[in-house]
Amino acid sequence: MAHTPGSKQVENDIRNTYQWLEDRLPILSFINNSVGSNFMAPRNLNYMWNFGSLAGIALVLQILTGIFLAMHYKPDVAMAFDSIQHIMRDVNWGWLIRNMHMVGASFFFIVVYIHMARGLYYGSYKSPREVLWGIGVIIFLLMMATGFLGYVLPWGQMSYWGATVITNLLSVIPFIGQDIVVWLWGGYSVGDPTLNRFFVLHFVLPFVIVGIVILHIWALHEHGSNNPKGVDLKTKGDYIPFHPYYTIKDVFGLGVYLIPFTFMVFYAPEYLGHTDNNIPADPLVTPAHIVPEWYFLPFYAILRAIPIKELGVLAMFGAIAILLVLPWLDKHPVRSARFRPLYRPLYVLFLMNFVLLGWCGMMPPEGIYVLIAQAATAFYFGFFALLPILSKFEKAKPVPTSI
Amino acid sequence: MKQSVLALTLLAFTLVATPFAAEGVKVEKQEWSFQGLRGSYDKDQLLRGYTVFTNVCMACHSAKYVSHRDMMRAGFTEAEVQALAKNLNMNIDQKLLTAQDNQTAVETFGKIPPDLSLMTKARAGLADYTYALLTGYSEDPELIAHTFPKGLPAGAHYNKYFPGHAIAMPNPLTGPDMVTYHDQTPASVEQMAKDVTLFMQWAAEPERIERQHMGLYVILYLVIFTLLAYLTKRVIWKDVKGH
Amino acid sequence: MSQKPESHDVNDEVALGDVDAERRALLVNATAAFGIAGAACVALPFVSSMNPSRSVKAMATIDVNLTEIPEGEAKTFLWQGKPVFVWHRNAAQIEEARKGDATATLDPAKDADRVQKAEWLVVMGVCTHLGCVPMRGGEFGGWRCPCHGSQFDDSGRVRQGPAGTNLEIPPYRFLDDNTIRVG
Repeated sequence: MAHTPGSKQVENDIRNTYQWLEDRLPILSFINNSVGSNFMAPRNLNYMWNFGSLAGIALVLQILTGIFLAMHYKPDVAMAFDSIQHIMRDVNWGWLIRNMHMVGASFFFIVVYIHMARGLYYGSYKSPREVLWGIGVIIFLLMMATGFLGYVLPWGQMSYWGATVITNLLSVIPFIGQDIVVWLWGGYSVGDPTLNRFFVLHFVLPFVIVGIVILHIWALHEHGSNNPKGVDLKTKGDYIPFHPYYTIKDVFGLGVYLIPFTFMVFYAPEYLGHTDNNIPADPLVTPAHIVPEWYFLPFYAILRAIPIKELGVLAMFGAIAILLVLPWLDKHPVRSARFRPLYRPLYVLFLMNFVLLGWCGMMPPEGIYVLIAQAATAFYFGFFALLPILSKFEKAKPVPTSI
Repeated sequence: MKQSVLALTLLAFTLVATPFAAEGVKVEKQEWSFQGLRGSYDKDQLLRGYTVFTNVCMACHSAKYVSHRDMMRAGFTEAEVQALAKNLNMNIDQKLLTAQDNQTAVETFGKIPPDLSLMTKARAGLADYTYALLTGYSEDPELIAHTFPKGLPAGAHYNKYFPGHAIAMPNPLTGPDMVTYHDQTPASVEQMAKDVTLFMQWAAEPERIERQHMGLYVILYLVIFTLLAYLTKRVIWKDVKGH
Repeated sequence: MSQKPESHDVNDEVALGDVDAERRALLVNATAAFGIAGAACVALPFVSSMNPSRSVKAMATIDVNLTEIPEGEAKTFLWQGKPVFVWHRNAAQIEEARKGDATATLDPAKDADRVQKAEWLVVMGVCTHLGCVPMRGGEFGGWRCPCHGSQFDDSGRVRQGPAGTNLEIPPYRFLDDNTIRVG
């Protein structure tokens, strides 16, 4: 870059304008401190650490596509299905925006599941990051709620029956369960009032998630990122600034993410959906196989594995709630699974078991599948039950003193 | 971490690839012109399918999301579309609705025939299933007696591919030459089934060709972008210890 | 390299050669430019999605049966969500409109240029001031806008402000003597 007097002048002007704004609203330095060159991060983070910011981008993409879809969607049982077809056929690029939203939801969950699995492996939930982890679990819960509400909106057969089955779960609440379900429906079955309020909630919840994500990042900044070795950072040389090192790494990660995402959007937009949702909702006929979206399958399997309704619902919600107390179940002083010879294989089994649960959720609830689902459910909770014991007895490999 | 990621991916793929146990008769895969990265709707075949659809299917079924104007997306000119619509006494913005009223339908078939706009996307097996269903009728008394020892339910027809094998819809393509094709293609039952399925597939996804052709360029762009980002990442990270 | 933050001290450990610095700047700029161009392309479909959809465009023409309109009277039709006035002018009104060729000074236009057949005046019923629908009446034989008092004559020409231009003429053609297609 040649430094002519003219370019010096421009540079000065930029600096002065920056300073002027900074004196009045220090938002630029706030951003720089949060995700810029003033935020210091461990220098040994691996690619597993890409998924946090990737989840943020996925959220923004969902909100953007969602806003544009909402401009064409009609939350009315008589018009909802038609308005989706209007988006797919008539609205300029409507198919692209809807496909991005549909595929984006699935990819958002993939990213968040990997993000959580990373935290689980490297002990990112342990002191002093328990609150950071807890906020993350709450974000996950809100995401599931938002995903469920969104799946109802196209008002196809799966939308309708998914909504019916899931809302009926709440009927197990003692004494007032049935009243709560009726209150939620705004009627005596899933219907027009339900669809309308689900649309409102589906639109609003993502902004609530954004707010909680800000808390998540705030909590992250209090103690900084964990790292693959799980040890606390000691010297200044252990850190590098987030920008440009991790920003460019995240940009690269985003590119890698967008390639399969784009492939799905253009070539297999409905691959992860269900054909029954192309049939308009019919309160008189239930589809032969009711299957929730794939990201609910493991929890759905837990629900069905237990033959007593109340216990099944409790187990399903418990399977998520138990993550909230994870930091107090696993009190082993070593964070990273790399140095824990027992936790590490157990963790791999846990993940495989989770995928197995998802598979069970997809299969009809009969015969051998029920048995497999029951065994997998037992192992899911068994994993958490083993953690306090491991904390006491597991001998860790030598842990390095620094990264 | 790396090993576990690998193991998980393998496990996930194995499980997802496991076919459903209770999905009924396996549907044979067909070759379709719209498949693949460079696929398209063959215009002649589409017009043949349109002929079958409007002459046979539309006696009872509608395609309420589809109008003649939509066919301009598949490469038909406005004049061609106007001419087709005029043959049916329609304007090009009217949807393809059947003349049969619901009352008659219920009296004749026991139910209202479903709208066909999305049919190829609304059944497991997709277009292959639609084709299989249209060619899956049989009158063979032995076969029917074998499946239904007490006889077919009243008003039902035997179909090999329909779940339960008893379908309310009578065989719509009872024999060859039910229609005359504009391009003199012999109108065998298989040909008509294939053509009308293609037409229904187009009706379900009129945007499909646009998206398939466009996707390639978007992915190409992303590959270049990702490569550039990777090189930039490498050069920026050059000064970090241990990299 | 001026946009690179100076606060970090990693550069001290390994000094970058000039070649590296140049290559680095080139790559950063290329990636940024390529990425921003891509993002801009993604923005286009989103912006475009708010434009009239195919179904709105399909409703873009209407046919008007002229036999419904008695001589001397005007009727209003909805076209593209906006009113269109179709006025079956009688001889006296045509005469008035032609006289106006000389006196309509705000936005001069010949009546002959504003009609295809003298007895049929077809204009948009949208005031050229701020879009209200003018009503029959006023001092000039045509319309008067209830919002801000603009007045139009027998040819739909503006004769009194605040509107500054004549009522627009939509695209239309006679399909036969008794039917016009607007749009």
